[in-house]
Amino acid sequence: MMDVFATLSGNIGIGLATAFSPANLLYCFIGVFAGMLVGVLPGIGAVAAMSMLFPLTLNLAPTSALILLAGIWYGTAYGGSTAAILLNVPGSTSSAVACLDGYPMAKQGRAGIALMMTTVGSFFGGSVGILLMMLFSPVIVGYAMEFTSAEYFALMTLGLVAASTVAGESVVKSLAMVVLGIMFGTVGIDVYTGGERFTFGQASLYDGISIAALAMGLFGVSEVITSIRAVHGADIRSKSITLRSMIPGRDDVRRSMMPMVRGTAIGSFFGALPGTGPAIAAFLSYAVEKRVAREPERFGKGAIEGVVAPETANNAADQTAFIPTMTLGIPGSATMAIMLGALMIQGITPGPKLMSEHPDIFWGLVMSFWIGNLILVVLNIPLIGLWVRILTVPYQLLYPAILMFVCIGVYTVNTNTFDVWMVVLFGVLGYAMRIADLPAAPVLLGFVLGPMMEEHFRRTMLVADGDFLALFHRPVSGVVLGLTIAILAWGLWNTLRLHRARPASP
Amino acid sequence: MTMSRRLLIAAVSSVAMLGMLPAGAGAADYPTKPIRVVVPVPPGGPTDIIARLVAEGLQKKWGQPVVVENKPGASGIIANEDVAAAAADGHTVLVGNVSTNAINVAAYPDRKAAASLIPVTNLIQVPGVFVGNSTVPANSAKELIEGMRSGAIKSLKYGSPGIGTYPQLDALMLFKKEGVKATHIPYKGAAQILPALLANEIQVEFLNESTAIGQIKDGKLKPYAVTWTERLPELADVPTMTELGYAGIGTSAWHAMFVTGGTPQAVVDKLHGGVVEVLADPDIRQKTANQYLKLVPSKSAADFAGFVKAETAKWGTVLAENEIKLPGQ
Repeated sequence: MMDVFATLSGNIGIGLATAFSPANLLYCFIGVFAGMLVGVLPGIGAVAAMSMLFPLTLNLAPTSALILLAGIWYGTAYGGSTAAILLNVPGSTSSAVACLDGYPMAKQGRAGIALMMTTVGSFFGGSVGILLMMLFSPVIVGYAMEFTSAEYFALMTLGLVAASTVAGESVVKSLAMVVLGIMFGTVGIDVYTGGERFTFGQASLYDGISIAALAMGLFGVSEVITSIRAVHGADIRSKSITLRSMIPGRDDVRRSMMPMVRGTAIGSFFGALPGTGPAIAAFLSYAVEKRVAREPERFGKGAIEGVVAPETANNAADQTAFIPTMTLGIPGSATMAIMLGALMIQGITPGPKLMSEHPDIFWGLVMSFWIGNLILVVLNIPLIGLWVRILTVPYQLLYPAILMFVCIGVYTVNTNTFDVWMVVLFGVLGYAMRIADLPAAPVLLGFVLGPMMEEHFRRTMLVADGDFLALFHRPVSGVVLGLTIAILAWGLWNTLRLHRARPASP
Repeated sequence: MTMSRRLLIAAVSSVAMLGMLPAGAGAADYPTKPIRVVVPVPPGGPTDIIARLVAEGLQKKWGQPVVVENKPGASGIIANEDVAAAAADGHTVLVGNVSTNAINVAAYPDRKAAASLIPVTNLIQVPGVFVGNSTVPANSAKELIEGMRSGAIKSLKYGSPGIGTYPQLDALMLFKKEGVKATHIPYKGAAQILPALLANEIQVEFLNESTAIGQIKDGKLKPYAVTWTERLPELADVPTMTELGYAGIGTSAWHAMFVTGGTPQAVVDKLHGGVVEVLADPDIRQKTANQYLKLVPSKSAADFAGFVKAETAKWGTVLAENEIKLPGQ
């Protein structure tokens, strides 16, 4: 045991020495600052920013290159919530869920508090993620590698069932929207047959609908359309912006504690699973918060738990996503593929031996995470006042600017003008849904989780030669599916009980 | 106001004239403006990396900005169509690969974009390794096939990054040649395959050497054969597919440069010469060697055009013989 700590402290020493070199400090700063800015700008995600800066890293030392790119990656999560909370435009996909309660908080004049608490939550989630990476990388990766399609399917099902309460009052509306989301999610080429589904012969739809286009259209563009009709309606701006207004009350802090802990756990878990990542972590942690809340009806109307938990989760996931990438050479996402590319071009093969063969790179990177997260907190808190001031920009100036950024952002993801048209389409749809009082969040949820469920279910069946019970044979998937069934049964029983208790209610 | 308008007109017309220049100008002036390198895949993989290394070299050499633009999606169709529609002056080039510019050309005879491009030169090839999960009771390709034939190895699954991708076709050809049965499990892209292989969801797979080597050294994957023309220095004990009697099966994915159809021959040749010179740079040699990539510049553009033609024909036959239909066909 003492040995473990001695090695660990030795490694931390190596890491700190690397991370604190002036050049690496500078690249860390540039990375997180660029990441935060990119995160604030609607739609320009980490992938676009990292690929733009990727050529720069060809001539950097390996560790500096990684520190720079990694900084952009986790920096976007800090900035991403800002636009979501203030303008209802998700800065990055994983912060789309921050719109649900963050924007209502801003409307109530509590934007400063929401931003402050997400910064704190982000730091907490990120820190725990880093700690896990330092202490348990090999163990976590070992578990993650046991996961087959059966486990993924079970987890996604649990998520969707737990999240079916994400919407507002009407369960029927919510379920209908989940289905709509699943339908959007199935657009593209079927993985198993190569057949086209709802592509209408458009090559641009072969890879499906861009999640950035969907999220930004449904939330951001529809918000802009709504505000054209009701410019005088909302008056966030009349609230004075003082430092005092940014300090969370005792109640806010108390309400945020457990969501932060749960968000961290969920985020760390899904981050380490290749192929899931921060967006799913954020959605599921929102769903869990709503499940465990005493007054779930507060959600969607400015519940601080609904902002803090998902933002904490996506930051934790951002950090633990490095575990499979660095220790196995398995990139779980497009951003991690860029990280891997940056490593390999420098002649370093990520894999099980990376930690022992290149301790300076691994530990230097990990230590830079701490530094970067600290820089982000230090940068973010004074900037909150500035961000909130964005709300004082007159709408006629602010909204065209938002639309412009949304278009640029969506375009840069795939450099495809088709996606810009999709944003417009989803903006109109989002507006129509508002008029019809249909919730947008379940659409996004169905879009993300539905197709993954389908993919993993079909793969499980293919691997098990069609044996349905194979889902229950493996311990993890069996337990998770059992839990899912229990939740469903409990919900059903609860509904029946309530129904019987108030037979007179309409 | 009038002044600024006049200025604007002047500016616009001079830009327009600049744009017209290359059409009349010969290869001696090429390049006269920034070069756009379109890449049909997301950043990070071998196609993207070689595109960026070449872009950097050309920029240094010619003093014109060379910008890499990733246009992923639809199996390369979007990027190919973009380059095909560009001005035929050599200022828009594509760095594609065996999938986007040979397999898909064979699969989509109706989509003319990729076929209309002029091949400039091959850039790199990525040796592949046929690997198995460490729990598979076979230590060589021969044992694997024998095990499958005798029934000792039951219901073997092999993965691929999608229908019609070369790892699928390679495995398909191999098992077909030996007359043994295995189930194909397609995944969404390459990133999902390695975890599935390590979790034993699939048992065998054709992987790039760079992806496989760490796991092989760690003992988690067993190497059965390499797809390169000779043995690989890092895996000296592993036979090549040809040594095992599987000549023609097993792809070392190539990544190469193309240019818009109709580009003057002189410009194509200048581009070819420039790229070949860039590839000779020791720095690029080092960086590609680091990634287990083999530099394979073509002798001439015409030489490479012949190669692409042969590849397209080969994959056309493979797809037809195995009755594989790609999306949208």
